[in-house]
Amino acid sequence: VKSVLVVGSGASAVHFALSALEQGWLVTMVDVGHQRPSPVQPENTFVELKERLDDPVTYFLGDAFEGVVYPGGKEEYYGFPPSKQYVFAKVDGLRYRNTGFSPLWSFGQGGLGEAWTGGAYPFNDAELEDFPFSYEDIAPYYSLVAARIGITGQHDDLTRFMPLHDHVLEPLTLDEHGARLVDSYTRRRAYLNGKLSCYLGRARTAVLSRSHGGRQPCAYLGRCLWGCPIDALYTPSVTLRECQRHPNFKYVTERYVTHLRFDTGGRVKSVVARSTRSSKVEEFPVERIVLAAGTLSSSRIVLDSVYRDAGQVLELPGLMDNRQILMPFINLGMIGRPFNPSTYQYHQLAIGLEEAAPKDYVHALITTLKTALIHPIVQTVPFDLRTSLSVFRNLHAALGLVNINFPDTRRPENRLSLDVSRGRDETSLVIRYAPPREERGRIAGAERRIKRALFALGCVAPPGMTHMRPMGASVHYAGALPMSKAPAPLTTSPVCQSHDFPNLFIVDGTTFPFLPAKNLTLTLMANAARVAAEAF
Amino acid sequence: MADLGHDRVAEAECAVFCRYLTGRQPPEPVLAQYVRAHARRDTTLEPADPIHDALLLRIARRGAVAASFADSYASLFAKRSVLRRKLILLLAILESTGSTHAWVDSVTTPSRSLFLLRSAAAVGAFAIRALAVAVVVLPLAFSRRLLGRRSTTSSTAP
Repeated sequence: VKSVLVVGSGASAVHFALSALEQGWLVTMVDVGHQRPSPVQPENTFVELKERLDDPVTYFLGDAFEGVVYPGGKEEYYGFPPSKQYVFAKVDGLRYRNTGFSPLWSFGQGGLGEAWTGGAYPFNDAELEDFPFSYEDIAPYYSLVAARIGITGQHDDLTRFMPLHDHVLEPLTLDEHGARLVDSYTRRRAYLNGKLSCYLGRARTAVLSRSHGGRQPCAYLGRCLWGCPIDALYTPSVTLRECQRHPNFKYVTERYVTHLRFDTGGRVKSVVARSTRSSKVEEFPVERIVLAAGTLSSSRIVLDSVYRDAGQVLELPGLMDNRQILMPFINLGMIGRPFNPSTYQYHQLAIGLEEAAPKDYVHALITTLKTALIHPIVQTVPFDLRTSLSVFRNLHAALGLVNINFPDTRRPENRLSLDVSRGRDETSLVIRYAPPREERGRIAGAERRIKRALFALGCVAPPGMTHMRPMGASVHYAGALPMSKAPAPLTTSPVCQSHDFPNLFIVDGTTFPFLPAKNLTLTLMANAARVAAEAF
Repeated sequence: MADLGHDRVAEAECAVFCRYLTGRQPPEPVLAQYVRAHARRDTTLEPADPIHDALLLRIARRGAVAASFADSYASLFAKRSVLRRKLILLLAILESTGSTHAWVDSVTTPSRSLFLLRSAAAVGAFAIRALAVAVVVLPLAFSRRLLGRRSTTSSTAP
């Protein structure tokens, strides 16, 4: 039986592994694998948790009150709750220096996808222009992944930007706020489409609207942000568990992969990993190896491996991430309405901004979060806390947030490298990023259009509250070792096989030659399944 | 070991701040969590600016009305002050506690026009309070800083 070793357990890793297992391969997955705590009282709603837990403050704010957001912090409107801290827990030995980029890392089972918001958008032909395959080539894998994980959506005005693949489930029930926005859009469609090239439709989300694969549908518990306790919202750990049920699958946890060893022919002969428990170093012989640890970690492994093998410090240009702008808004028609916390909490609606070049498409997600903690938002209202609270309470149901995403391209100045000044056992990943010069103009233009669109929908975006998130915050990293039809050093083939090391495959975002404005996770999963089908 | 004096100061402070924010006395679980947060001796809740922070805290601890004046000022001129941090901590505890989450997160004025009227009045009152405190605190803080006096540092706990 042929065998492959997979590094990482995120969205790409688990879908590659599942496909390889289905094709008869022996799969060994090596991972740090911090574990998710068991869901707390999975039958209870968000409000019931507050009322029924013995110590709700520790659940919501953390044992050390680390969930309290004080002024002068990261200036985010909502953050990751204590229950998801395992996703971002680091490991000893991870060293990096960053300029212009604030990276997030995950060593948790399921990777960064454990904390995603479920956006599952296929790339269209324009967005795949720089990829060595078309939408038609990858469409079967979008459908395969949709059948595995469950994706809701529908044919509407956004279909012009995102093709409708197979196995899409009917959307969830809209909350009152969302329904009002759709009503307003229906009335103002001609203006919004004609004058602003702005389109609104249902978000595509990896959440179940009906039972699927042994998982329950969304029960509208309002706990999305805190970690769906019934797995209706898909995370990669669902597929990891499916892999673990397979007899040909071996999951080796508590191992931090430091580097690869090569034979004289340039093939990877083994993977070197350090135990996160005992620090003991182990070596795993490989026939084929698949890196799927995420763009930063996979690139770091390649850089460290080459440095240890040849003493060469490589530079990997082309790091990408989506710039995100957060724009809070108030729906005037919802002022004074009570809010319903028992609803789906992440984006139910999305906005598409058509641009002159289809690749420049701007994608915005509308969230009417009701069960995020309120104190981070209340403190941004510019009055004393009592007055701010009084205003907020009557606006809560009317509040919404638009998360505007911009595409990114591979540019040589945005690169990954190594700092080797402290020797080969203590190298640091060096991350450098600078936004393109034209970014400010592009953002200002999109902001103006979104504000006008919101106004047409009966909403206002309060001035001064729009917030530009730092690069790295979207966690849509890609681009350091891109797919290329022409063999060239530091690139991969159309099936993500390294042009430098023939038995090395990289199936995460590292190989993406372009980053559209849409969340890339569905394409990560589909591409990983495609590689398994076409190269294994 | 718990510092009983420290805990009592935190409890009294919690009671005043809770009355200021919600108009009600804090229930036992809220008091306990507020005291627990302070018992950690986290630097987040220690005065960073001994003159400004301590002065604001001293005013705010006098009662709910005084707290509203101090916070009105802090929301404009000392957003990161320890007073604001303590109030935000208390708000976070109130919204996470079963018996108090509705105190801070339910609709109080279902009518839109009434909401606008009430909000306008509340914002006007806020502006007056902020100005009133600024007239007293800003020159005082400035002159103290100028003279290098540090007499306020002794009364900052918890």
